[in-house]
Amino acid sequence: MTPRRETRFLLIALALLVLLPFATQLLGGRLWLLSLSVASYCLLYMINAQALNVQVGMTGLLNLGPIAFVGLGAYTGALLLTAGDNALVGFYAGILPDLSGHARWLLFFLDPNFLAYLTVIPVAVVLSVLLSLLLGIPTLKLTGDYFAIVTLGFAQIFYLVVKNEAWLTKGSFGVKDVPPLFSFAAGEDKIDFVAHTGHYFFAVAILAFCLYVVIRLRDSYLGRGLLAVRDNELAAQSNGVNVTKYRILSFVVFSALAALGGIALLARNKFVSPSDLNFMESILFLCCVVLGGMGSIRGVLVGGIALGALGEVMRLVLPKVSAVLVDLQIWAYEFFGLASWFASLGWQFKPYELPAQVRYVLFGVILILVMRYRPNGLLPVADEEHARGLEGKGDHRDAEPSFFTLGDKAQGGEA
Amino acid sequence: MLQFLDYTLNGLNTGILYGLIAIGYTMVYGIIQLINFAHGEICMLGAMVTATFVGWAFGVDAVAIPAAGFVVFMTAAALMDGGFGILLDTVAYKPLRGSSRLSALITAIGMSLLLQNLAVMVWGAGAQTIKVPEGYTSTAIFQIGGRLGIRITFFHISIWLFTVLSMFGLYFLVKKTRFGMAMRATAQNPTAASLMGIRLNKVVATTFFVGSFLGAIGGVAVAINKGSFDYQIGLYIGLVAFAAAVLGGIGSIPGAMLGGIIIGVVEAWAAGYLSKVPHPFTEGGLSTGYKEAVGFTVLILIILLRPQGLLGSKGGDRA
Amino acid sequence: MARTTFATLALCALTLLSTGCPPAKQGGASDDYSVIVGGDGVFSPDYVKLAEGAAEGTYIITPYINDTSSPGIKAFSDSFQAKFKQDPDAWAALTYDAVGTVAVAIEKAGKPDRKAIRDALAAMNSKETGYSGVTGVTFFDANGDCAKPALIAEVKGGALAKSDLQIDTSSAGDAKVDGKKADKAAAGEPIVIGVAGPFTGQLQKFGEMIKAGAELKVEELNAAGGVLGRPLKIEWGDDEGNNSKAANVANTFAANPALCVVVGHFNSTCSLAGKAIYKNAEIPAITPGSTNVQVCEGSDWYFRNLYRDDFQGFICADFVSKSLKKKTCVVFYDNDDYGTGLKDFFVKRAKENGLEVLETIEYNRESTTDFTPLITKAKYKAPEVIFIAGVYNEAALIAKACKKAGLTK
Repeated sequence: MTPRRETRFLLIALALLVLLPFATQLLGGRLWLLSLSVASYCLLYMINAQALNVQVGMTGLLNLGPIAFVGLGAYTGALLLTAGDNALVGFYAGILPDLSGHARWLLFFLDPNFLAYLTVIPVAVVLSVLLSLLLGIPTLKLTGDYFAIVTLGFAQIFYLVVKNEAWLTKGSFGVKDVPPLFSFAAGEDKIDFVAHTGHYFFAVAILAFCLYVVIRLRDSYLGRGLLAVRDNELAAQSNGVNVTKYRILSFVVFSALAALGGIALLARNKFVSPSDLNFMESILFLCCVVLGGMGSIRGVLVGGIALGALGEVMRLVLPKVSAVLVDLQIWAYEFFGLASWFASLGWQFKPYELPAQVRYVLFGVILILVMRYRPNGLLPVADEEHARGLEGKGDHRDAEPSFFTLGDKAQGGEA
Repeated sequence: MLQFLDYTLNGLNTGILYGLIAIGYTMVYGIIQLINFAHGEICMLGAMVTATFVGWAFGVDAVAIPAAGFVVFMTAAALMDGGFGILLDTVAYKPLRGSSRLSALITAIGMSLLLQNLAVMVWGAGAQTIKVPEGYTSTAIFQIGGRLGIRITFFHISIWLFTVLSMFGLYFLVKKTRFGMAMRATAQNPTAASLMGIRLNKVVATTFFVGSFLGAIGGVAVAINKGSFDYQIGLYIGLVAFAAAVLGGIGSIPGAMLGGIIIGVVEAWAAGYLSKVPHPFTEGGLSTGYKEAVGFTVLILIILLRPQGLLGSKGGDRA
Repeated sequence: MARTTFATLALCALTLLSTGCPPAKQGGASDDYSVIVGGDGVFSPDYVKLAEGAAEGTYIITPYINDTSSPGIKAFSDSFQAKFKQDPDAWAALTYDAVGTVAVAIEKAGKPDRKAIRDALAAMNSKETGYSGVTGVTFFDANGDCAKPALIAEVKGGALAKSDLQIDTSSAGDAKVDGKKADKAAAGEPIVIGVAGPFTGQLQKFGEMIKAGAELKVEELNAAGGVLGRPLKIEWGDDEGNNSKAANVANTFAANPALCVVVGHFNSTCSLAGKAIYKNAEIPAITPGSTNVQVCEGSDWYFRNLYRDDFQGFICADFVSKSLKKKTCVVFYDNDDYGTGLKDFFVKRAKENGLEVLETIEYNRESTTDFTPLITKAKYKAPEVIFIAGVYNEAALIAKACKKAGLTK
């Protein structure tokens, strides 16, 4: 895909995201709030998947613990904002002029809450980067699955530390009553539309920023270095590419963007707890990346929407489908006069309701089917340069006819 | 002293179970370089099926289960689970044999989700118990140190026996039989192996069968040891067993068992002694909730010091 | 391969040989078995079922016991049994009452308006103005909290029964079931209430009971003429016991203009997640199961119809030290906000009462697969009482493991 086409695609996507609340508002109050909730949920996946894409898709490092960095961003934000009884917000409220009416949201950048969030963001990013260096530097020599399992263990340890060290993180209770992104969201004369969509547009802005960073990175010489490391570390090193530098770079960029994702999470939920750090989230981010197409920025965007929306849409739609199914069964029962047949067999007629687990089964099936028929993802990078997968193998169709082409890099260990 | 031994024994008992499950991971990885994420769910299915068989045969509220019947049903469930393993490979992984490893991993994740939730749809989300012969887990064969001392029950003896026999059996299979040679050849170089006339599909299927069989027994034993289990048990024991397999050197069967034992013992010691470690920032000791983290910490330390795992071989970059 | 086997066997041999060492000194009388005491999360028929005999003699604190000697409870229990083929537990009863409370509040408000219902609920602030149901009289203080007594249940003969040892002498008032019958059926536009709970997931059993209690009450209300003459309709919100999902459920409820009040959530984490959303959207909510002290604080819109963790923790400690007259105990607690909260209050009161807490042992509900070393840790302290601050699944496993280890009879 040529750069211009890709930029166009992304701009359209962003525009659609921005227009969504306005469009659904026209369709009615209930749909609007619902779609906003689902869309902001998807945005979190989109942002975090973009961050993970830098590491997994562009550098070929399989990181199974991204949630730790997202969580660190969210927790840092939450703890700093609530420290000293919302001292940071109070500080800004003290030095800024009091606005009222429409000026409050028109001049949103002068809002004390918003400024507090902006202050907290760099701290979150720095801490996240430091944590990633803590993980990244000792693991420089690890590759493949060994690297993956270390990141996995790291995330698990992080989760347990957050859960147990209540003096620092408030333990399993989590950090509650985090001040909202904009002060007018909590006030009495709330302007409904703006109050509800504040955090949504904030997340869209963060997504736009992430996309910008990732695209610029990919198209720069740094990006080419990352891709070289992904395709063949040994060859890259022989050609003078400083593998260490690029591995660290991928960690730094990934963790910085993940921290931003964490702040977006915080702005949406106003509440963070250890259960936000569970392993399943990491897996879902990874699925977004692979489902969308590794290294493909558009693909990851679509992957994020697909996974985020799929879960929520299914949750809402399946009960209705189940109700229809039940009605169908009752109708069939009466139409075919099965009552006597049932009675003779001693059975009791109970229409089968689709249990809630069906949505996860469907989810799994969709993942499997997509991997089966589009193993390179939904929107893979079609470009020659970027088409390589994790082992330097191309598209599925280009595979040699031999039975096992899963690559020799799998052994891991010393590179 | 007695307490230390008690913890160590506890750890060894759980450790060999982790090892049995880890063997499944390591064997599959050795053959097709796939992290079979759904392996934990296979083990969970083994436990579920055993619980169901025993429940059907002896009634849901039965207390005294004849030992022979229990063994028969457990073996039947494990064999069936071996079949599930083969099915899993055929349905999910075989079609992806030419694709990137990451697609296979995502498929494995998808299968894991699918199996977990199918299990809920079939058996419900509540806790299940496996009925065991009376006194199997409670009557002490050896007791050291009085009523509150170390108890070794028939359960412990039987899992040890099974593990030792399995290890010898696997050693015999892999090193001394022709089929074992075929497995080793496939792991080393699949193309050459198929050129030598080895039926790769058969080798892979058998690997899955053996791994799933052992994993099922491991899963059943973990379920009995814990007391009850639910559909999510596969997730955590899968993670721990995977860590154990990597710790021991992925691809190495004795490594998997060793890794499992180490993690089991370290977890038990952590449960016992972590609270005695003074906490750096607050009063009191570290909480026992870190027990699960300790296994991963050991893993990370060992991998950083010896990246190929304890018994793994240094894999060169053959690209 | 051979090396490893040899190493393993050597380790076993070493272990067995070194047991010749003298056993460590054990504290406490070694002929007394320990007694298990559980918090209200343990109160479930599944606790008895899963523990398979090890549950016998456990004392459990609970807000409700299905004591059919009381006519009000018997009527409820019979209808529940008829519809669901099992006995109601505390959570079914509390949800049943919560729906009843909400119905009365709607009637008092005169219209299904969120603010009016909230005001009506807040006005139920004394025994006289409160709602009288199977769990006693529900009335709220300024915070939205409810002072209900805690009862002690005992597992006797494989069933949950009222214990002869009770510590809380305050009375809930007689259990009462509405008996009114209307002359015409409920008709018109249904009034929608939201019920949120863990209907899927590991705490599904709780969710089942909540669902059952709510369904039964709505059925009875509709048969008796509905609320304000209109039928009552439930919209279910499955939060799976997870706080992100709870936030989604809360948003869905808030987005529905016809939904005027929420019964839920169950888990404290979920209620806390929903709290900000309900406050913002100005929907009143009443929880039949969250005991964390912070749920009602700081929000005029959240109510609860059972006691809080501080009350519960104090009662448990008082029960152990004063009724059971024991001196030492070990606390097992689940590392979530329910277990940790309850444990903190228990330990605090225990210290005041002179009850020695020998160890506090933490476990993680989702990842602990092996309780044996934790039990070993407790075993060597030989406590008189084992207090479990967690839910019934793990409590049953702990009870079983204690029996296997010889700690309990």
